[in-house]
Amino acid sequence: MARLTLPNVPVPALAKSSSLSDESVVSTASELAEVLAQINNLAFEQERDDLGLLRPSYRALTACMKAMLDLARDGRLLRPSDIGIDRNGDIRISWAADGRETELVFPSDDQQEPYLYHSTPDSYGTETELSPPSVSKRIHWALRGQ
Amino acid sequence: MPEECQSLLPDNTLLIRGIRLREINQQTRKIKKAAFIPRRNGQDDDGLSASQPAGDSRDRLMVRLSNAEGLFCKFQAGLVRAIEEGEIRLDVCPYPTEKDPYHALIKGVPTSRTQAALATRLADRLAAIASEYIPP
Repeated sequence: MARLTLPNVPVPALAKSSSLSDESVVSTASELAEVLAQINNLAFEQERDDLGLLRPSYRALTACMKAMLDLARDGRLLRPSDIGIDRNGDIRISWAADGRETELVFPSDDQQEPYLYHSTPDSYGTETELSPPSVSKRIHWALRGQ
Repeated sequence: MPEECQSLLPDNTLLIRGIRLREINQQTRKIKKAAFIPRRNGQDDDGLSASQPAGDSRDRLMVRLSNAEGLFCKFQAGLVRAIEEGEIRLDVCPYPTEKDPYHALIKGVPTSRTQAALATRLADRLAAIASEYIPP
C-alpha cells in the first residue's frame, strides 16, 4: 500500500488562549501525516464488499483532504476521534466527547455536497457551511461543550 | 406500528446484522453508526437487513447473511421498536428470502439525501442498542 507523500504544509502553533490540551491539536507534520494517511488509506480498499462500497470516490477523497488541510493551515485541526467510511463510500470524520459529536461527512455521491452532522443525546442536525472557522467551532463544541 | 410484525417477531427476539471490522470501535468494541447508515442506491429502501442467529455457526451465517468478513452485531427487536425520532418510529418485520428464511427488515430509516440528518440519528441510536455477536 502506498504511503502518502506530504507537501510541506506550514502548521501554525496552537494559540495560547485555547483551553484545549496541546495533545488534541494536530500541530506537527507527523501528526498531520498520520491523520491524512488514515484518510488516504481508505482509497486503497477494494471498491466494494458484500455490504456496500468500501472505497471513497475521487470527489469524496479530494473534498476531505482539502477540508483537513484547510483546517490544518489555520491551526484548527484537532485529532479526530474516528476516521471511517460507510456503506455508501462516504468518508466520515468525527470528534466526540461526553455525548456530543461533530462529524464531517464527504459523500462519494456526486449529487450530495459535504456536510457536518452534530448531535447530543437530545438534539441533532446538519450544517452545510464548512468554512474552517465554522467547522472548528463545531469541533470545539463537541470536545468541550462550548 | 403494524401489530403483525410484533406478533411474528416478538420484542424479545434476538436479531443480528452483518458488519465490517472497521464498523467496530477497536478501543471500546462498540458498534459504529456506519453499520446502520442506509445505502442510497435503492438497496435499503425497503429497510435495513437483519436476521436471527438460529444457532448457526459463523460459517453458516456468513453464507446466509452474505457477509464474507464473518462479523455480526446483535440487538433485540423490542429495542429497535423503542427507537423514535419525531414522527418516525422504527419497526422490525420478518422478510424471509430463499437464501435466508430468518431475514428481517428494520423499517423506518429514510434513505433520501434530504433526510441524511434523520437517517444518521437513527443509525446512531441503532448502533447504541447493538453489540458484537460471537456465533457459537
